Amino acid sequence: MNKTKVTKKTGKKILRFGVLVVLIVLLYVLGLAGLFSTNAMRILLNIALYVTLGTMWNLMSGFTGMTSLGQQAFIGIAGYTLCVITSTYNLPFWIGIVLGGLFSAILALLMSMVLFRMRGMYFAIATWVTAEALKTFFTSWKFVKMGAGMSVKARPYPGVSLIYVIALSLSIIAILVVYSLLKSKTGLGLNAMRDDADAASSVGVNIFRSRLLCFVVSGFFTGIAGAIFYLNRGSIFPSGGFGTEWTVAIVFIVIIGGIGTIEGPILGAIIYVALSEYLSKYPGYSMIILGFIAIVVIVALPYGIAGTIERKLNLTVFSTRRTLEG
Amino acid sequence: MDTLLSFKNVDAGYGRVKVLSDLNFEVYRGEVFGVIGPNGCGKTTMFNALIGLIQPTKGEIHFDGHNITNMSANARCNLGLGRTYQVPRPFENMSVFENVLVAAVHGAGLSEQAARPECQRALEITGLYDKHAVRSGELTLLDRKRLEIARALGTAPKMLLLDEVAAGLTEAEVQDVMALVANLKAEGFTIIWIEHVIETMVNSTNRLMCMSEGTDLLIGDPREVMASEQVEAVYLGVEEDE
Amino acid sequence: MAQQLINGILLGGVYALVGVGMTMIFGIVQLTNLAHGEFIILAAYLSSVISVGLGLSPLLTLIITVPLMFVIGYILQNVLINKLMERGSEPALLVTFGLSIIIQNALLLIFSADANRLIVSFQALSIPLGGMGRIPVLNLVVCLIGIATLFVLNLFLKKTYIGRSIRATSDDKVAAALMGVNVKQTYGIAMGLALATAAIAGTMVGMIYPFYPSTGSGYLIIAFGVVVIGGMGSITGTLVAGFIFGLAQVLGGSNYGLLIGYLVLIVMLAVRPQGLFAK
Repeated sequence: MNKTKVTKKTGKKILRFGVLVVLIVLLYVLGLAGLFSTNAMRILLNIALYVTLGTMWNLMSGFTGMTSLGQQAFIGIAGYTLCVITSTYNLPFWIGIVLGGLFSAILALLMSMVLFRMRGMYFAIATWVTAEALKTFFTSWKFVKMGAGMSVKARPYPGVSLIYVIALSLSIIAILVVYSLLKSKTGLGLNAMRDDADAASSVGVNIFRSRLLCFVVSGFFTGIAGAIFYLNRGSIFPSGGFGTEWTVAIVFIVIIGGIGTIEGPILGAIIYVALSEYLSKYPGYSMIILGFIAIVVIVALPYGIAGTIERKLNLTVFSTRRTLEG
Repeated sequence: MDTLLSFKNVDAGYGRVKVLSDLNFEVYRGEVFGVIGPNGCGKTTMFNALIGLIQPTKGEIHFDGHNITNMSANARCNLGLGRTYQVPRPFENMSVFENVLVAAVHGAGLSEQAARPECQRALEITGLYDKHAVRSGELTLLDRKRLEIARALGTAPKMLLLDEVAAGLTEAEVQDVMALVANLKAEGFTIIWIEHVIETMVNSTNRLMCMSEGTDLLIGDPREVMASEQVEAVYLGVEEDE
Repeated sequence: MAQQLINGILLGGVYALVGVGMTMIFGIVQLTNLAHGEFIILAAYLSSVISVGLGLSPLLTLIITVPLMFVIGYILQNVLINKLMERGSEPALLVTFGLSIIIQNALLLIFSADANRLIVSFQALSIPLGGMGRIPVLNLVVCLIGIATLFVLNLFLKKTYIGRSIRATSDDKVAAALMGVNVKQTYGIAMGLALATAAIAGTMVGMIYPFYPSTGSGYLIIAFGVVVIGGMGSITGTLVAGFIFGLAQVLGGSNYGLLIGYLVLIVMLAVRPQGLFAK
């Protein structure tokens, strides 16, 4: 009786795993074979980048209770790193992407020294103010050509299919990193911290170290995603790179999809990109409509789409739950 | 006597509000050390200072040969301090088992695999085994109190800190929890026990401390402490408001 | 130098006004209203529309905008935010974030991204101070209105029944509820008052600076700086913080002044989040 239950469970697991692998292989093969139109590739590329951004914000807000409103700090830093590396130093773009991620991680480390003394909304505001301060600084910094912006130089310039494959790989790695982090000992502590940080620390969870790890990982991947975005776009300006619009999009994605779930940011990113594409026909209205949808979801579906499905139907693709039976 | 814990001239509080002032006491290995005192005298604050949720502004705390005065809460837990909260604070979105697992993995430093039997034992001792898969946010108050103890046990503590485990429970439930604590005592845990039920405190503790205005008013044999005029004076006038 | 000092101090009165609504909501409702800056700009646009439409001086439009913004705040709190606050502070925080996006983009849609400004008859007048510079009449009026608003608000909170129940709720909402205060109703009034101050602030900043749909976030940061430096719920602190911010901005120049302000703010947040003038 027990055994059939276990094999049934394992069977389900294998099935889910199989479906995922087939899906991922399809996304790669179709992209590399040039079977997607350029437009489809652009949309998928954006989805992949937003999945990464959402997953990383979710790691902080959904799993450690640190709500950042300043993820654009990492995106801007990495975008500018890419431009400086390729156009000022004439180095290959992949060095720019990697260094962009590293500088973002270092920025996260520096920010943590000051920001980790704060809790709750103080932390949220401080991240946002940091991003605004960086925007102001970059607007008046000669080395990055102030408000005039910079562009990416690469010869030959990578085609959209290559950038798409890089972005897709990044999103898969990002999800795997977060998933394995949550499955690890640290992840067990993160789940506890999210519910009650004081109680977690009194049963031995090292809150500071967990927060730092999440913040730096989040900064690194957010930076890489930002660099890839600007590789695709070709140029960056302080107002866009450090723009609040990034946080708006990220928050929308995670809230709609389901905060604190791994599936949430994936669903949210698909919905966000699809909606933005559709709403681009109505310039001016799109942000208003997105704002309304976000408020309605916060009020009506507190756990987002994935969270509601998980609670109502007990259905997850990436479960991080532990059971006594093992 | 083998001293496991000592408070030396400890001052502590929240922000500018000083709650503990010049608190001194020692707890010996293997004993049940009861703490009583009127509401607001600093019993729970003493626990918060002991486990590191607040830092003392003066004095020293020593535990099991370590000066823990400035240690973080998780480091103190790793040294063997296991605490329950008066108002239970379960990790509501996690199952009962996962709650205890966090404690066994992070507090006792076990691998998840090695932690399973330990968790099972803690759940059996506290009578929660049948509910191991239930989301802890859905538990009744009695079960939440049990979970507090199970979680503390999960950290493999040398000393258990019980904060009013009987508060808020019905008469019958109180008997359940008392039996559980008696069990723990028999298992040989060193326990600091805060409770308002005077009778239990007199009968089940080895020594009793009465606190008043953040300091140790009297420490000694439970019966002698209860009989003292000083303690009576503290309780008169403030006690009967619950 | 003397002229800059004068300008800085005069600006301080307005900044205190920009911050006071944020401080109230932060202290009383325990909500960070991320849309506060947008509400200020919304009020500035309302003022502009009314003053152009009815041919009124911007100062007189306050008769309409202040009650209107009060009602908006009261309804917003009662219909939306009170309910969300029951689930913790984060959903409400994110909803105000959503509101700020909606207001900003709605303004952009209606009024375009062009700069707008409220014009008054005494725009260019100033009082000479011998060799010490000049006092611009407009800035003086605006500063005095800011200080007067804070003064009236303080009086209201101290002397009236509603004011006292607001303060009681902010000290201890459970105790206040036991004393018969309708906490949610009180929150609604507090939010209404906060937006009423935003209405005045909007008209004031609209008279001294040009504004666009996107300028709200700048004022939000100033408001937040005032909260952090002044400490929540302290009117004196708010005023002093307003002067500090005003001086910093004028002395540091447009770009670096802002940057210095940000850095001061972050350091303050880390070192003394309860503010310099906390109770």
